Amino acid sequence: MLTDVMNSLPMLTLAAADGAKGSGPLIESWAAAPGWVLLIPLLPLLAAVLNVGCAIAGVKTKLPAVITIVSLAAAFVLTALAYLSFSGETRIVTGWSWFDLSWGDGPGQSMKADFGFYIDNLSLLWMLFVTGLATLIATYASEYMEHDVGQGYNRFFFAFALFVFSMSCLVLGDNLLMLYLGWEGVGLCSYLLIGYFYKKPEAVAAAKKAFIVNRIGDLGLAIGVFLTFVHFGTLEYAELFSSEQLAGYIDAVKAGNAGDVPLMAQLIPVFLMIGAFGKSAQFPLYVWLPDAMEGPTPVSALIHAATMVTAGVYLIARFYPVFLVSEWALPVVAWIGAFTAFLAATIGMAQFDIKRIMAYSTVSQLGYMFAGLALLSSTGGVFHVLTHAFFKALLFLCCGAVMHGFAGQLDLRKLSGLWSQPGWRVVSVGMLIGCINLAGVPFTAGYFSKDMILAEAFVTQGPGYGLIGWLLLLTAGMTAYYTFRVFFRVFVGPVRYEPGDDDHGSSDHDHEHDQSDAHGHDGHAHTDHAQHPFHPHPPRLAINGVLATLSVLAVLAAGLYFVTPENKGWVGSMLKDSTAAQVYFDGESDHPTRAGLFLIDGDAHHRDHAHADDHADHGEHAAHGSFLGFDPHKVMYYVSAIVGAIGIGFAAWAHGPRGAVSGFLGDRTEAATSRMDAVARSFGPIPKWAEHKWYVDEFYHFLFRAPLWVLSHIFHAIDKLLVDGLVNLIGYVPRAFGRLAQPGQSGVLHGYALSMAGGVAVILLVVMMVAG
Amino acid sequence: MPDLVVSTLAQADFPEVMHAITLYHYLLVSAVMFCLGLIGFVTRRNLIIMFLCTELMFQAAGIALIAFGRFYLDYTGQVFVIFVLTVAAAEAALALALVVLLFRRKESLDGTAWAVLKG
Amino acid sequence: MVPACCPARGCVRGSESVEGARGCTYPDPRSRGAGRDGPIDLLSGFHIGSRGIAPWAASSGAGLQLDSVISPFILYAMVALGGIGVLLALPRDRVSLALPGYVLATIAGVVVLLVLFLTAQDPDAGAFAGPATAEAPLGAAPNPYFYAFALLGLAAAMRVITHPKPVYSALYFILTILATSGLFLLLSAEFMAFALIIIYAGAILITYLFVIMLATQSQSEELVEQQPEYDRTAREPLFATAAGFALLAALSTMLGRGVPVLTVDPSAHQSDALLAQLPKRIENALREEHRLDEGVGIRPNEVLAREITATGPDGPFLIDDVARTVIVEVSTDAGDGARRSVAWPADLAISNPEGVGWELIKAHPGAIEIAGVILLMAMLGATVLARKQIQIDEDAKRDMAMARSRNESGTSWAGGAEEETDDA
Repeated sequence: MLTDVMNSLPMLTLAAADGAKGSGPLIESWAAAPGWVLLIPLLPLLAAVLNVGCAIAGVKTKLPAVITIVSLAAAFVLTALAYLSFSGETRIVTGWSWFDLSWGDGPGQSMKADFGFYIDNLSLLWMLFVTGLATLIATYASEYMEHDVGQGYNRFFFAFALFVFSMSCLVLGDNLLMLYLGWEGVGLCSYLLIGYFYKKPEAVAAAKKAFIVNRIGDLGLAIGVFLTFVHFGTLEYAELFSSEQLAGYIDAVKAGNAGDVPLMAQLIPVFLMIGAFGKSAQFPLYVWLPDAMEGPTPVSALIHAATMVTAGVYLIARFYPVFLVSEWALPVVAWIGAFTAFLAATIGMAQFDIKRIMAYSTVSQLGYMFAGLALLSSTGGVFHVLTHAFFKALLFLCCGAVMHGFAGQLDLRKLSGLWSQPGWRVVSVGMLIGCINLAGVPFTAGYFSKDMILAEAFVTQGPGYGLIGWLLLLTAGMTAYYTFRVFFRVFVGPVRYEPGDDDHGSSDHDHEHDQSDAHGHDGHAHTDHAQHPFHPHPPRLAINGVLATLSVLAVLAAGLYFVTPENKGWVGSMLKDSTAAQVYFDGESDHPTRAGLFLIDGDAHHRDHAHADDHADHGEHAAHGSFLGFDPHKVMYYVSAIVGAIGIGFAAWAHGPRGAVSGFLGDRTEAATSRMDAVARSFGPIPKWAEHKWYVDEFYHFLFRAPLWVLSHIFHAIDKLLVDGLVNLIGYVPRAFGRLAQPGQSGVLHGYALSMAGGVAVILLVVMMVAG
Repeated sequence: MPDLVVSTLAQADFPEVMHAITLYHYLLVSAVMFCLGLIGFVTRRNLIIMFLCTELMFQAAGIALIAFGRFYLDYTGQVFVIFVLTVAAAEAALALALVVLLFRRKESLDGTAWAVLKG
Repeated sequence: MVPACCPARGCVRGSESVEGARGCTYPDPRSRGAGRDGPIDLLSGFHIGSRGIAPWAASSGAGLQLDSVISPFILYAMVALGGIGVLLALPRDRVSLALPGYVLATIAGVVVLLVLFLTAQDPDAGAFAGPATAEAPLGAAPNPYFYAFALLGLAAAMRVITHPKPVYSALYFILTILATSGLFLLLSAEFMAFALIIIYAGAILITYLFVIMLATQSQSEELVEQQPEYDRTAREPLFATAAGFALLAALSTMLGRGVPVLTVDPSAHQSDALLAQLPKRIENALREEHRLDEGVGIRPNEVLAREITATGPDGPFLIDDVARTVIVEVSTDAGDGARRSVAWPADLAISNPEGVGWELIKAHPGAIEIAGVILLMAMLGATVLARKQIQIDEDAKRDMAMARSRNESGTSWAGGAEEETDDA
């Protein structure tokens, strides 16, 4: 048995014996504890190390891809095994002691952080889609990146594997330090992969931008970690979530005495929130994510759509109890999320670069997730994370396939009718599935997950939460519009295309040399368009296979909603025992207000959360959160479907083929124009502003970069003139003296003797004067 | 006053005839001779005369040393002059050897001709 | 005529100054002799042992002290005059102004020395002048030797630096050395005086003369009298003279201020104390005295007695340098002969070579060794420097010889080749 083999590994020790903590979800025995889950992060790490070896050895085959795929698949299998063998009780698996410091016996005078894993449903859920998607996307990338075999291929898969390792640490870690390690690790890998085409100035700039913007968020997270340790005296989840201090704060908030919670404890969620906003690209720190599309498309799909950017969601879900201690932490998250969702959707509507549209869509959907979490619908939020991971990865990979095949062409005005082109059917179908998910077409996964959030937005009482609901609903319509705008423009209509200026079939590729050999996979070189007419090369087995798999998964994800419907789906059943679980538990009042919250942690005694389970049975509080007088939970299915349909219909009218009769294959006069152009004109300059991303980058430039630029130039001038001047002066004075005395250095003996004599005379005279 | 017996270094006769000569007399002579040697060193271009002028300065120093020794009634000044003499002899031997070498190189004793040695 | 007691210089005359000297760290010299006012050193004119004089730097009336020696106006004027004289006397290419230069310089020197002479004779000059004695009352004839030697030496030194011909310079330098030796003699440094003549005039200057002869360009017959350019002209005479005489003015001023406040510690060195460490010298002197006069000195059967210690009479010799006596005893094997005290000969004093030698060995043994090493190194250095040149000459000579032999052998190429092979 694999388990037995793993059990015999001496390095794996368990925290089971650590009974001193007394409380907390600790594992009882080795057999019950899947110690081999340690291999989940270590396998990708091993792959990363092996890929470094490949790079050193100068491997010129697809070996790194094979290594990565195999190790990631193994990690996925192990994760699935862990899930299957999971008993529902939170476990801690300790690899080895990482930090174990103590400077006193009192509380808060020791710091302990193991390389250990906190295994509960939340982390397992995350790891399942992280490792699964990573395996699929690695397979996709093995074909997508093949033009770089022997060059950047090793580097790419090294960073890819390292990213999965970091993400595993982030998700699985049983303490804040592990989380921080993973947090920084994914940031680093993100930087490395965005800047993969380091010869392209835009890619380098985007990588720097992502890294620097993330630094702001990471600083917030770091301060949050510090404050947590200072205030609660521990970094370990088990200890933190079972601490009476935290429970006391939550009780105080529940009792309406939020003022009793110390300010420092209230500040912790704020700083954690900043970290989450940075990593998950929320307003105002979202600006890095669209630019991050400069990286290879698989990276965009995995890191910047499916996994890494959900780290912020994970952070808030994991620290849900901590967020509850502050009255206004969650409302802020809700508002930021809703606003980001709306803002990004408006920008996404006006973009022409399909990858960029998907990027803004990601930002927008992340806003949904945050709003969902903050609106006390953690199930909805996390479900949306899951479904979004699949369909957004699918969308990105489809975009990547288009980009790969059309020489880096991403402008939807210059592509048309892919559906009708031979070899592009899988891509088109995958795109369609992704689009209907994203647009919220009924009975798709995206439809269900979005509905849960929307319904909760109208149900939950909070500062301005009703407005949030309307905002999110509007956003849903806009999402449907811009999603199908892409689809109608690119995949429907007459076959017409204009290849990109990337001579390699993808703007990702930046090779000044060896062009004819590097992309031999399609049989001809695009080195010179003038001589050889361009032929798009449709994707082959690996890409198509992955797209098909993802399409199936994206469709099947909808089925999760119907698993254990009493918990609002499979995700709800997963979350109910985790830190992200919440119930509306209030005997006196059935208002789903924040004061009525009750937390259930993994080992809480409120196992009998009947109220939580029958959340769907919401008749008791229907009167308090309503949607135009209806029960949101019931009516939202129809409302969102209608909104989505409106969006799709508008897109079809504006961008679809001319005349509904001609169907999908009907002709459109020009790929570059549409009815929308006329509509947009009626809005005046607003579409232009949206296309320019509301000038946020310019605003940041004006607000931060310009003053910093001026300041740094002032400092530069000071440094140059004052500091350097002083140093130069110090150097110049002796030199000037030297210059002055240089004529005396005649080489003639007499001159030296003369100056010596004169000098003695002068000294004597001076002595006489001084001595009187 | 006949009982004014003076402690001298050796000669009982000398003090009586030099009572009007002070240390200043000797030091002034020494200073003049030193400055003459210095001027000679600076102005003359013949290497040999330049070295002669250094010997002149040595003489001046010797006079000063011995006068001070006499003033303080001890022999240290004279002992110092012995060492000055030693160094002067060594210097003369080496310097003159160098002068001969230089002369053979350029057929000239002009001290200014060697200004290139400044590097 | 008793001059007012100058507070700046302290009281240096009269019995009260001797009273004032009580309690100083130096032994009162009067303890040696009965009823003396205290010895006065005639060179400086100060009471030996008078320490009531402030150091010159702290003296408030320092400016006056140059006045007490020589009028600054006269001094500076004469320095300037001498400078002009030297400037004129320096060799120049076209017209020789040497004679007026010598005249001016001589005038300056004579005037300065004359002023110094007069000041030294002037009882109003305070401490600078020596006290009047019976042998040499005030206004008595000056010591002519100092002035003669000083003038001679300085004039010769001037000729050294101004004469265009190196040979003459060297010869005048010998004259300077002789004059300096005279000054040394006046300073009771007889050993150094004669050593100077032997070493400098006898050895070093002869070397100079040899080098001058070696390193003089071989000129054609007509141009024998023609000096090379670097001998005929001085380099920047104006600057050099100005700097030199500015230095001289500064030096003389400072010396004039400093010398009057110098003090002497008579106990630092005493001829008798030195003698006490040389028992054999005393014994020889006493035996010599006995040889001349039976009544004094030690008799042939007597030896210097030693102090009796626990192990017998093997202590130090019993010499009393204060009372100038020595204990002698009748020489016996047991060392218990009759003892008596014998006074030193009245004229017994240590000679200058003895003093110098004693000082050299006692106080500077390491320096002697170093001086020896320096001389050795100088000898080696001179040899090495000369040897290189000789090697080059030999190479040249050999080349010349080879060339000559080749020419003589005519067509005998084999011989030439053979020679070259040998060479290689």
